[in-house]
Amino acid sequence: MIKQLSRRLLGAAVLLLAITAITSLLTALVPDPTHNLLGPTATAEQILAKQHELGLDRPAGERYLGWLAGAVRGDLGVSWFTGLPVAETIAARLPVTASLAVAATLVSAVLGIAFGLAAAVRRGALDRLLQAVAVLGFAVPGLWVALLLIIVFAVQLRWLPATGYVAFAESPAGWARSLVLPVAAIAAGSVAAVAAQTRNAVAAVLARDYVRTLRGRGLPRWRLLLRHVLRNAAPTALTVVSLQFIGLLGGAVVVEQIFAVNGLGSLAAASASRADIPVVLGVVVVGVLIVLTVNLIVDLLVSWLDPKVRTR
Amino acid sequence: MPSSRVAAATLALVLTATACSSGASGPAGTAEPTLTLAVAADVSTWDPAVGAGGNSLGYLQAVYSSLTTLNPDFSVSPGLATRWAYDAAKTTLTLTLREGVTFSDGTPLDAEAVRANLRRGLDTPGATQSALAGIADVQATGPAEVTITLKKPDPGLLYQLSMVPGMIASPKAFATLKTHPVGSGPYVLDLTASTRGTSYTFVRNPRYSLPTPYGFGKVVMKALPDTNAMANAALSGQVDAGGVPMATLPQVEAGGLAHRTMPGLIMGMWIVDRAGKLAPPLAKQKVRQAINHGLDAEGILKAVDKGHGSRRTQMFAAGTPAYDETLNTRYPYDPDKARRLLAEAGYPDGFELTLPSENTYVPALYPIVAQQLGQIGIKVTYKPVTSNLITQQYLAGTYPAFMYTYTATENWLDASLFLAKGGVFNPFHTEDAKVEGLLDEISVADDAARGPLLRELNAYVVEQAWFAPLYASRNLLVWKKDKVKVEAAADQLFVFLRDYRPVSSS
Repeated sequence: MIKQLSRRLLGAAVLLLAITAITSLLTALVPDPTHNLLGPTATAEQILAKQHELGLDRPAGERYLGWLAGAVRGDLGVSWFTGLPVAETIAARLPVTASLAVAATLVSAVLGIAFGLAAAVRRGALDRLLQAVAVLGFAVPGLWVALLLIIVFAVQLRWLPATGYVAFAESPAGWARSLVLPVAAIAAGSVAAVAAQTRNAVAAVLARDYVRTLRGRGLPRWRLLLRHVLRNAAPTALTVVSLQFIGLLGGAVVVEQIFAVNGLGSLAAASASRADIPVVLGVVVVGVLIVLTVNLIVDLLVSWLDPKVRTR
Repeated sequence: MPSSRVAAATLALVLTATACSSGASGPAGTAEPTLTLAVAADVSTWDPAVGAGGNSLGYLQAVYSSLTTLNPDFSVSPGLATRWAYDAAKTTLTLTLREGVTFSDGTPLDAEAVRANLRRGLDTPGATQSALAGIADVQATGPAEVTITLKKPDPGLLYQLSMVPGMIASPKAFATLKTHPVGSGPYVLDLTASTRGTSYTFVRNPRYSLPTPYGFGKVVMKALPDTNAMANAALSGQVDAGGVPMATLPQVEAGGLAHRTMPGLIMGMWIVDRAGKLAPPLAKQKVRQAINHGLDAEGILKAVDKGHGSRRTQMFAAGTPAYDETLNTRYPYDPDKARRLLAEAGYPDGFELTLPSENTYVPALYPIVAQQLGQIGIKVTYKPVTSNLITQQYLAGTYPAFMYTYTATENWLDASLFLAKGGVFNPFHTEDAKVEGLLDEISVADDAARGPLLRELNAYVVEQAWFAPLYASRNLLVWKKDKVKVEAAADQLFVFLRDYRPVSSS
């Protein structure tokens, strides 16, 4: 296990280096943002001075190494536009995205696995209903669900806020209220995805010989399902859940916009559109670290659940 | 179309806002209402020397006082300066400062602080630098007297001093202003109760000493860049007031919110290559007039802004001295006349024109314009421009003309920007003897003479067809009528923080 973990960590470090290097080199192709920074009246001298200040007059490789030297010490630089430290900017956005992504993932995991398990075991009408709902869940855009939820629960009933994020430290109840609608909008699609995958995985396991044997030996139904069937079907469900989580990190931009919650997604979009390179690189680092961590955790969980994986 | 559309939506809606809940405690211990404003964008900088567009104006006005105060008719009244006087040549402006003003950090306001602020604005690249570009020198000529020497007469300077360029910050805080504002305005920013990028809380500045009253004990400004989010926040009661899309008018009325429409942006084509450097046909007045006749402004208004606006053929703001309502009938939609004018100009078969297009702000506009100009013989080819480069490329003289939305404000400022030879929005720096002569006259004219001269300038530019304006759009400002009063003139372009009053106050 330790050997596997070390190998994974080493691979993660190499991947992180490669992705940041590629991102940094790609940003060298972005049009020079100094005109936007200084405004249309800036003189040529002022533009040159700004380019020098930002390091844009140095080769891309040299700029990357300079950034890397700071990054390994935890210094991700300063936003070219706001003047705020990148780490501070990301730290302000991370709890928002993390709250949304974790809550939406938990909701989709719990509901998706429960629905998927029920459909695979019960079959019949429930199964067909689930499959129909799953198709609907895939087809209906999150944007539409979000708007519908806002109109009903915020504008008409006024039960929940239409916009904004409340920090947990500020008000735990307010935090929960601010999450309900965006999480519901995000989870609407992913519950369907998790349920459909879980249903297929459970159905496949249920058809195995050893399940029939265990059933024949009189093993209680709940024990058979939880201990043997779900455990073997879990890797599939876990993989889907982890993919959903990773997708939420960057894919929640639209939902963030509609609910006016400023998370990493909107930060990445805004920074990329105005070529705020230090922030773009910072978001990439954090995003890659999160993805690598989630993947590592899922792999470890899967290998714990399924001994066959460990021997590969 | 980019920044301008957003900025305008902003400028006009800057301080749409808010919620009145009880909260802050007044001087006598009485609870003062809180105002929660929805603002169309996050603040771009807290540093007035860098300068900020319309989106940031409302935030900065909460913490900074400016040298002069803008009136609804674009005249100015005292601010940090109580008096001012020009010399006979109108190139030296002497400001007398208000006494007893203290910044929120305890530093007293004096002439040296004002000089340092203006000097800093002149030395820092950005919008403030360009706004103050006419200043040759600033001196503190007494403890409460500042003398500004101009390169040439600048009738727009007092207006500029009422906006961000005239906001005065504590000199002790210069190094950290970008993120931590320190001014002498009615409020101070409470960073502990704010979330950067999302929501900013302002509490009363106990040292505020200017006469303009502010009725709320606490102000919260929420940045809601998405217009739908802003509408939902207003309709669900999360904010007490805000600017929302005109299309939400039925819901606003059904929801019982008070509302008013406000002047919006002037949409149209800027024919900047007036000398025909890139597109020779545009040098001919009749070609430019043909473009004006060839675009169906009313039709475009319906298609793009659902009819919420009014026809314009001029670039100056309604209600300002230069504006002339009668000019708006100068170019009725008449494709036959447009074709005749093109033929008379020597282009009976039309010509090809390359224009920029963007897909972020008004994407629906471009195919309509191409189709209508195509009908009179002008074959338009678009070159897409990425949204963050629009202003940069448009103002670099890369294109002979472009579609753009503009917030017209003070006449001299607008004329300096897009008519004068050196104007930033005159990218080919086209010079016209008549325009330059009129600008010279206006720059030294007294108040009585300035109006007729500005109208003459406006009429000349419309006849020259340097632009093909289409319409002025409208914005919708909504507020909770049981909590907030908006005290602003009927067609006021900007509604500022000071214009919001608690209903409970007289």
